[in-house]
Amino acid sequence: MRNKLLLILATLLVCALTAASCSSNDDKESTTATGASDDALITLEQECEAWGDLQAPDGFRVNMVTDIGKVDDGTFNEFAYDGMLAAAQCFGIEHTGVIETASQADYIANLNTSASENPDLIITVGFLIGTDTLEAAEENPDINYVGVDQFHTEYPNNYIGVVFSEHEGGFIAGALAASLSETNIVGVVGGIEIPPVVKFVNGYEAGATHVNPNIQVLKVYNESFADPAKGASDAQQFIGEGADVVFGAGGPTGSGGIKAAAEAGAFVIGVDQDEYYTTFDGGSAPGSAYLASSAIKRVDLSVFRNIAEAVRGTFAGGSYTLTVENSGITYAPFHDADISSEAAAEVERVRVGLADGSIKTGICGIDGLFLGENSACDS
Amino acid sequence: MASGSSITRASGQLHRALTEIWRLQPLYVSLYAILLSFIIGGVLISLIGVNPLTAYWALLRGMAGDADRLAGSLARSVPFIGSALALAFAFRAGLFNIGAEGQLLAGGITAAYVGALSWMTNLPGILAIPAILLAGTLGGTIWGGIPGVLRTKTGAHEVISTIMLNSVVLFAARWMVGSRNPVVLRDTDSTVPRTKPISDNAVLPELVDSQPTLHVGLLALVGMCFVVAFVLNRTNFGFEIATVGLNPHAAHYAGINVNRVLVWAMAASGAFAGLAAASEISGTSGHFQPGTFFLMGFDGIAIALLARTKPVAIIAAAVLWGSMLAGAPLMQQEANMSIDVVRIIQALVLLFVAADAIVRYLFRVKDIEQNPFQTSTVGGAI
Repeated sequence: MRNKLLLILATLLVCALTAASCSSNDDKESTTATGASDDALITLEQECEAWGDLQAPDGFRVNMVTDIGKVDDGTFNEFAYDGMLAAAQCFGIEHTGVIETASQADYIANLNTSASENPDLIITVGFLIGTDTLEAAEENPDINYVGVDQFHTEYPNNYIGVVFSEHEGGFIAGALAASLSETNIVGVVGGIEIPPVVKFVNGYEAGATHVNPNIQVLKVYNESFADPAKGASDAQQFIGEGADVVFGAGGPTGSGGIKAAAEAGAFVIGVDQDEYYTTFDGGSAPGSAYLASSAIKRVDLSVFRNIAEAVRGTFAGGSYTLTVENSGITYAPFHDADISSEAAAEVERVRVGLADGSIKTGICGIDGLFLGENSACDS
Repeated sequence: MASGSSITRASGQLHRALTEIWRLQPLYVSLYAILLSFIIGGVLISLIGVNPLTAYWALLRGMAGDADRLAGSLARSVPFIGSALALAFAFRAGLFNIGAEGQLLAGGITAAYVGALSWMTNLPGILAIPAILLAGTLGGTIWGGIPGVLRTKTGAHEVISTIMLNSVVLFAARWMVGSRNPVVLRDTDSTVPRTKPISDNAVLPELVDSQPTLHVGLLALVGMCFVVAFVLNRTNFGFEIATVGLNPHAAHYAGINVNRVLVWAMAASGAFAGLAAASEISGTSGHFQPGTFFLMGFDGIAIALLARTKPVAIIAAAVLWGSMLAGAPLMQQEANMSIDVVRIIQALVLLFVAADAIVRYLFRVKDIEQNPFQTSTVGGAI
């Protein structure tokens, strides 16, 4: 009895270990632009051309330390890695290395291992590794650091933190939602009520109202980013109240919401990356035809540009904000969704307007509150 | 065919050397399993198009390339000793403690809570350190004891209840550490979800300033292995555990309080995991984050199997395990070889330990020796 159990146990364990090592999402492309306007999604090749014939000196080395996960896991890890590889090819950087972090316990050790090769630049991914990256940057003044999704009040001059204008992404999503809605009711499933999420949610409301002043925007925040079931029930409730477009802005919670809404036949909008490839499995998941677009953050572009700055010798510490103006915030292609040319033209008009400054979101970029409503920008 | 027979002859000689010169009979299956797994791993690496020697050389230097790396590898191994002991100890009583993952979390969170209490700052280190270690041990003990009690009172199988309790404590810990409204244990000054830093005098003394820091927790857990070996082999309680593990009905007939033994074996198992977690909090991180212990409990199961549940062999198995994980990043950076390779090798090791007939056949081992899968484990410690 005991022996058999132990054997079963060992077999299960082996399966679990190998499954964990073998599972990965393949068929993913992060930067293909089909359907949407070419201006909306600039490719890394176009970005490369914009830097002219800039070439890296011999021996230039770029290393990367990911957040927990893999360089092909469909998150910021993958986009940062894509950006690094594209930059290496574009600028003729021969030496690149990557360490995929397996455990939170390894952050500092991995940063040390990465620094031990004396690279010119180290890219770290994710807000969790931000504190350790700041310390590493202070300890190694000769190495430049780029931290994706890392906000600090002050940066040493060898450290750039990449942050995002989420309210602009939310604004675009809201404009798209309002152009698609026939019931004049749209919803947004938010994550935890922290500044980046508030920026998305209020930006969405502002964008929707910009296109249709009479629209009703249903908003909800959640206690967790990791609760798809709660997101799904939020979305179903919105649909019950008459909403016909749902925006998910809260990690897996939001993704659970848009998945449920799409399956129920409402248009949905994803966030952060093109959720067509993640949440909707590249079009094979049910409801894919209702994924109108996603409000995306071009992490690949930010990594590419900051590597270029380092190659050119113009790297300067501080925060680097991805905005609509610098093409870092935009919307994903429509893929399988049947979007009318009027709606497509409307969302592109709003994007261009945000880019050239003729449209303002009316939202404070610090805390995401509306300007004039005690936001941090008012004082 | 000629090369085939020379390989088997070489492996036969290796086996003789191991058994007759180094006297490592009890562990030969594990040793051969490790060797075989690295060979298969090497084939895999070369199939991907990387020179396996380059990859293994980088891995080896990552594990023990200099004093700092060696110390870092040891430090990475410390919690695995505790989580493997948690499986091994319960296993002797015939119990499968799949809950080390949760017991680590329970111990970690209580240790971090006690370590950050305001009165701790006024305690001298000689009291503060035992306090934080005891707190963690207690947390683990309770979380390990619950499935023991459930087993004896309700008959709930400990495999099911420990797996379920893993989820309970994981999500509870995430909430306690992550919630801003209400704030439970979150350090509101930190941008990432974690508990408040522990008091300075509750920090375990460091042995080597490596990364991660090698601290006194290593000695505590290594010492614990010897204590467990002693308890199992030389005490009444150890005898009772072995008897219950072999045949609870016979143990009951012999007058042993089987329920009491089961509960205490589970509680003690949890205590080892709790101690490991507390030593991590106190010696390495200084605060609690749920992600720190990710997979450590499950790896403990593998390590205990590799060490054939022998407490002292666990030390070596845990060091191998932990240092492979510590060395993998350098392998990935230099040889561009994913750290998944290390996970695959670890999985293969387990496979060959479990299916040891393969190893016996390949290395022409004819004698039947002790194997916890087939024979008793009584008196087999060390």
